[in-house]
Amino acid sequence: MKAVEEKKTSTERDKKETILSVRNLVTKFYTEEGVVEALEGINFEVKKGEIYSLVGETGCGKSVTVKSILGLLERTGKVESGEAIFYRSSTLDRPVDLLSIKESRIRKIRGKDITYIPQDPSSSLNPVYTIKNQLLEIIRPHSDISKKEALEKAKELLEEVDLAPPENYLSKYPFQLSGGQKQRIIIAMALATEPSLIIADEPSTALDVTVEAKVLDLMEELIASHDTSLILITHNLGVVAQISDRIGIMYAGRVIEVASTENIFYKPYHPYTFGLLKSVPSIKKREKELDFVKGLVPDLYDPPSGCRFHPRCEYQTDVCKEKKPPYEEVEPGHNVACYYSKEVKKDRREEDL
Amino acid sequence: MSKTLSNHMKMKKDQENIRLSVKNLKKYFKETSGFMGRNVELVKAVDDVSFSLGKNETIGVVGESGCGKTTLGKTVMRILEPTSGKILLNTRENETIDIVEAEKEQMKKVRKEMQMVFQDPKSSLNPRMSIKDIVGEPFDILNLVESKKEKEGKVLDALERVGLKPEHMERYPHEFSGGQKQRIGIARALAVNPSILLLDEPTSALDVSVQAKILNLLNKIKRDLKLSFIFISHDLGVVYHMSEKIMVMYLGKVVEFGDSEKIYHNPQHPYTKSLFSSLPVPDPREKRKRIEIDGDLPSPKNPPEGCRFNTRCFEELNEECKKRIPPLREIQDGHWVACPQKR
Repeated sequence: MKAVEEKKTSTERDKKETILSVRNLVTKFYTEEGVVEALEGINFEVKKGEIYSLVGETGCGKSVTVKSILGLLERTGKVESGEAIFYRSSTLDRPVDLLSIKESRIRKIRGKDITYIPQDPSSSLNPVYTIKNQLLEIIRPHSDISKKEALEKAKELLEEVDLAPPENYLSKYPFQLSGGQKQRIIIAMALATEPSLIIADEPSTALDVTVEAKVLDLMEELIASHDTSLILITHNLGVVAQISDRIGIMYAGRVIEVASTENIFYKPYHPYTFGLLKSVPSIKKREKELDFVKGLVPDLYDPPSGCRFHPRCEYQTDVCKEKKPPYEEVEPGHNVACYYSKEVKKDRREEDL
Repeated sequence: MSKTLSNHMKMKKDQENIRLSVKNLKKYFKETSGFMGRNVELVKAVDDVSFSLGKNETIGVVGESGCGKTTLGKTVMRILEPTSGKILLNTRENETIDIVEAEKEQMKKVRKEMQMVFQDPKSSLNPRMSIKDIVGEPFDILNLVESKKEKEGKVLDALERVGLKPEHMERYPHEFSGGQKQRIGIARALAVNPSILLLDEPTSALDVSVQAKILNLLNKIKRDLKLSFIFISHDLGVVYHMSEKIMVMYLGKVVEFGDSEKIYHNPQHPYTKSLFSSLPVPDPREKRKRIEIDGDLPSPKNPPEGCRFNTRCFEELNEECKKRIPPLREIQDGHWVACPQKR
């Protein structure tokens, strides 16, 4: 497969500097039952200061993408090919390919230049250490500052995530905090090393809506004030619509459509994106029946040939079965991997969305 | 609350259209601590809840974790023993049973009328039982069939109703996808031909496109079999899609109840307002104008005096808010609010 690079366009976002560029990432899992072709050539770019969302349903490869980039795959997983160029390493002055550098190098980048916010805040905090201990443990190894300065920094961070006064929280243990407070601590930890990229895997899924809304607002604010970038992995289309700048829609191991948030929601070109959007129950209008994408997610032990979406697609023809569709730029900054994007454009009506 | 509500119910000419009426239902849990459990604290998980569920009607129950929505569901089913209150069920045979008082034989009738679909289809299906046995189990427990053959026929009907095939009968749960497992859960609930389904977060574990199929299926069987649903979910979009009426709960209390159109488009209780304004809308052009509420949910062991929401309310509080638990009042036809400021 030959992926066409996302073309440079004149939009403001594209003028910005690229932080991470992933090209043709292929990852497979070698299990006892056979080979799982989890990723079949992932392409995307993250720009400075933007929130880029990777959206897709269970098993589409969102988390595998992140794990591949960070070198955190399980033993059975193997990155077969591709590159993930990271442009903002603080230890090296040149761009590095995260997929080919040594383990010791990636360890220096992971946790310092690229940090991670996991889904479940309670399982990622150590239950037997105080918040102070856990914050200092992150701040000190990555900078040459005294214990006192580190403590000051910890307090600043807590204030930034709206846990004030910080003295009330420093001596607490995780079990004494609510889910929302724990997630704020995790966000503080992710910011502690002044990273240039934060990856958040379903950061608000475990939270209630009112708490979730506050955490998302906070994240949006902090990403802007720290001028860092965020890769947000989620399946919640509501969350994505509210905070992302650009969205990549994933299906069965491939990013099938990339565009601005506005375009994804109002001008989708891929039949899967269109189907996914229509299946969300809306509170704006009540429908008798919800639309949905017919069929099931493919078995990645034996994925469909050509375009992996073809067995479920109403536009499919022979070419879809034979050849993987290349990326095409349908509008400036809007890329789609589908032979029939023009037909989708003709058929879609805004009132359906 | 009970007085006004029961008056209203009497006024209702279509009383015979009521399938289930719950009156002053309470479920308190005792929590003991200290030496020999001498300190006893009461957790008022469901505190004085009344509502009635019509025939062919869906009531959506929404609220955040810990508000008591699941406990309410389980208490209505009498999976949990109610502390006090009445739950009157009008069966398909036009018999009225008080579920709270029902004896063993009567409970069997209740079980036949009311069935439940659980959140996680993975853990609610026994992995060692075949689909035939899972869906057929209610018949054995409730002694509803004479022969094996009759049972098999009914199992087949139930499977067909939810879009599964006869050859699935001999298979085991692990052979099915999440959406199919939830279909099996629904088939099991439907097998005994109930009139009420209690659905506790039935699609929370599923992806959106699978969720859409299950929601369509549920609405279809509701129409075809003339069922009533109690639909518990934290997903406001899903609840709106499914329900004619909505009940909003906060710390064991119903704070707002009524027609879903009214509540979604004109919420009155401050908590409902802030809850709905927090909902992330899947539309980038519609940035939410969020009404923020302060602080965290108070502990249900030690709820605030007066209105339970008064510690986080953004309206100006008056004496009544701090002293008295506000009753549900009907501020408009079919729209009930428990807030002293709304009349």
